[in-house]
Amino acid sequence: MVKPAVKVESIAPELLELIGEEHQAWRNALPVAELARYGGKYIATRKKQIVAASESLEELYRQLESLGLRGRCLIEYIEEPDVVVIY
Amino acid sequence: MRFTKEWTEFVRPLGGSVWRPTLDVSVAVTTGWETHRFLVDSGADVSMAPYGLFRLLGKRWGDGEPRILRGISRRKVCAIEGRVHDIEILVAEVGLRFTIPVCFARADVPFLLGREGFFDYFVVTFDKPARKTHFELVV
Repeated sequence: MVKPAVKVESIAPELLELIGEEHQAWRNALPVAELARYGGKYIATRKKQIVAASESLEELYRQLESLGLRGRCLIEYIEEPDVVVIY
Repeated sequence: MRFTKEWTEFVRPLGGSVWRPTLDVSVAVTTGWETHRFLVDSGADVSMAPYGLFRLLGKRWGDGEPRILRGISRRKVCAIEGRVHDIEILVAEVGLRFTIPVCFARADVPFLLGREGFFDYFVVTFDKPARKTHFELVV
C-alpha cells in the first residue's frame, strides 16, 4: 500500500483532555455495576462525566447536538454484559 | 515518534471485567471532528465503523468499494455487505492526521482499527500483563 501523506495538526487542549490519561483513569475507575447499567449503549463522556447515552449512535449524536456538545465528547460503545467479544 | 495507551475496562459476562486495547481517534466529519473509542484489532483485515458515523461524513454510500464482511460464522447467511471509504482520522497523541480505509456496514458493527491502513502507519505492540498498547509511527 502506498501511504498518503501524513499532515501535522495542532491539537486543541479540549481534545487532549478527552483522550488524556486522567480521563482514561476516570473511565477505568467507573464501578463495574455502573458500566453494566450502560450495557448495549453508546455513551458520550467529557470532563469525567457521562453526558449522554443511547442504544442508537444516531440518537446519541442528536442528544449531543441538543446539548451543544457535538464534537466535544469521547464516544464509546459498552458491550452488553452477557456478550463475549471475539473480533 | 511513539506513545503508549492504557487498555480500557469493560464488563465481563459472569461478573468482573475484561480489559481491551483501545485507541481514541478523531474522525473528520462535515462539521469538524468526532472522537470515538476504537478497539485496536490486529486480527481484523480492515478498520470498521457503524453506519451512524458514515452518515456524518458527507460521502455517497455507493462510491465505496463493496466488501463482504464475515466474522465468527462461515455461513453465507451471516455475511453482510459493507462499503469501504477512505476517511481522514486524527491521532491526537502524535498530532497527526492521515487517511485510512474504513469499512462501514448498515448494521450495528463495532468501531475497529484493523490492519489495512492503520497498521501501515504504526507498529503496534500489545502488552497484556501491563494492560498497555505501544504505538510507534513508521512513516
